[in-house]
Amino acid sequence: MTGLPVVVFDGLAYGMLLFLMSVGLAVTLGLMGLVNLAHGAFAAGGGYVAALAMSRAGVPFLLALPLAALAAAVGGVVLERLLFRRLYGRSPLDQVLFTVGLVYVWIAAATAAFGAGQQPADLPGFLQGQVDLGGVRVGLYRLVLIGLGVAVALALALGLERTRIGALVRASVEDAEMAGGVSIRVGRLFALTFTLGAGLAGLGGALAVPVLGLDPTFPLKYLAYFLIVVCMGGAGTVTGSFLAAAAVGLVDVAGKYYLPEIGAFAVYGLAVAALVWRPNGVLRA
Amino acid sequence: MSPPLLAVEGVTAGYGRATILDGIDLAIPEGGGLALLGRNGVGKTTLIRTLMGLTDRTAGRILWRGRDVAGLPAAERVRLGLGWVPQERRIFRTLSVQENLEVAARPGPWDLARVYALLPRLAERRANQGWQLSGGEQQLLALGRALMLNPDLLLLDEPLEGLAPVMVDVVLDAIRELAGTGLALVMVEQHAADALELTGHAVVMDRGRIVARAGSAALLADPARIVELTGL
Repeated sequence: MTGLPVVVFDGLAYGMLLFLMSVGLAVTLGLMGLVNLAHGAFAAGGGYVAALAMSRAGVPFLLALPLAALAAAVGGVVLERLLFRRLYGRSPLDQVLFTVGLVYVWIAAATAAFGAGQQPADLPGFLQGQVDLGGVRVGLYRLVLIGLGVAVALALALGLERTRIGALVRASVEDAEMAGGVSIRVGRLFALTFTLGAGLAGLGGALAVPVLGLDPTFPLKYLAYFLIVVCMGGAGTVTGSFLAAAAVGLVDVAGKYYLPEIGAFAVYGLAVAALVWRPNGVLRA
Repeated sequence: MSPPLLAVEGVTAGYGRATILDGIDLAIPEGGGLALLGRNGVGKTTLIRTLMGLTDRTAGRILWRGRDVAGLPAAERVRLGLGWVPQERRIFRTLSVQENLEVAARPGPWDLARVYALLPRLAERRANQGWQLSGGEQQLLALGRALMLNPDLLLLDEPLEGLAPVMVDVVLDAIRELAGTGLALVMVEQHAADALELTGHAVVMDRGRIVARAGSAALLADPARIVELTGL
């Protein structure tokens, strides 16, 4: 069992990536009931911006990260205004069909533009290697990912709980029609949160490249994981998404480590168990 | 002559293909009060929701100080001066009392201090979550929240429904005080006498149409006429 602490660290780090890439989807699903299966394309978009900026323009990794977040956020606001807003109020089937179509458009476009292969993205030297943490050697980059995930989760939770705009978002998530009835411009609020969610996905995608790799099928490859995080966490909740993402990361990594033949299915067992236990999310009895 | 605060001209509306309101005409002057009477299911709440822009309107105009606002969403109508206290209150249950009030805040004389002064029960419970309030307290919060919008016209949809008698008095006192400040009111109420006491005019609805119009005072003085018109 000497591998347990490492498995936990790797699982949590993976969970934090899933959290960053899927929290925007959870919030937009809660706010406007939008089932956006193309959300992973923002993560992939951020990943490509970072990978290409580093490999072709020599941009340092730490600068490539905000660049990726910004590019994904800009892509988010443009697509929200042009495409996604047309889906609000439509049936879930319409939303699913449309956004799955967008995933395939993304795959085709990314393949045509950048090729079907993996994008190279090496970590800078100062993020490589391991550190000793109470006698356990853990990957430094994994540690950074966990710290960043926790910091983003705290910032989002505080922003939602302690700021006026957070209260506007919570009111709109709870009752969008009534929110309009007290002068809240729910559409604009949605565009703002959509943009923030896309930006965070872009950041998560960029951070994921050195760990998960990146090719045009990325949004499809991880779609099931994003959906499991959102379903387990519950729509519209940051804390629920954080806990669900951590659990999914831990179970997925532990399952593949300890039960390599069937471990890939462990996360689906977790999802089924969680949905039977708490169908509306882990924080909602 | 300046246009009325709110004019409804030939409005037909409903939900999807179901038409509920049929050719509604009415006007409310600045500071005026209108009681909306009728049995359950005749379209009173649908009319309130239509004024807020929450139904499918198929004909007619809704004019706010002469400007056609029929195409505007609820948030923009509220920003022009409409305030809404919906049936069943619909407070934000996961927000605190104070947050419920703050999310509705618009510039004007009504602020937290003034709302708390009018409704001191809310001040006592400012830190409680919406779901922790009693039905009567939720109604006070729905009223206070609408006041934070600093409206020129307050739409009150059955504000006394389901309240304990002591709370009915608290809510009625507050509405009476508001009516005295010159705030225009549209009040839907099953208890016709309460609505008539607070308003200058009344309309009676039946099957989506306005079937009678009268002065509130005259109607209040003739209970038999109220029963004849409303069936209540």
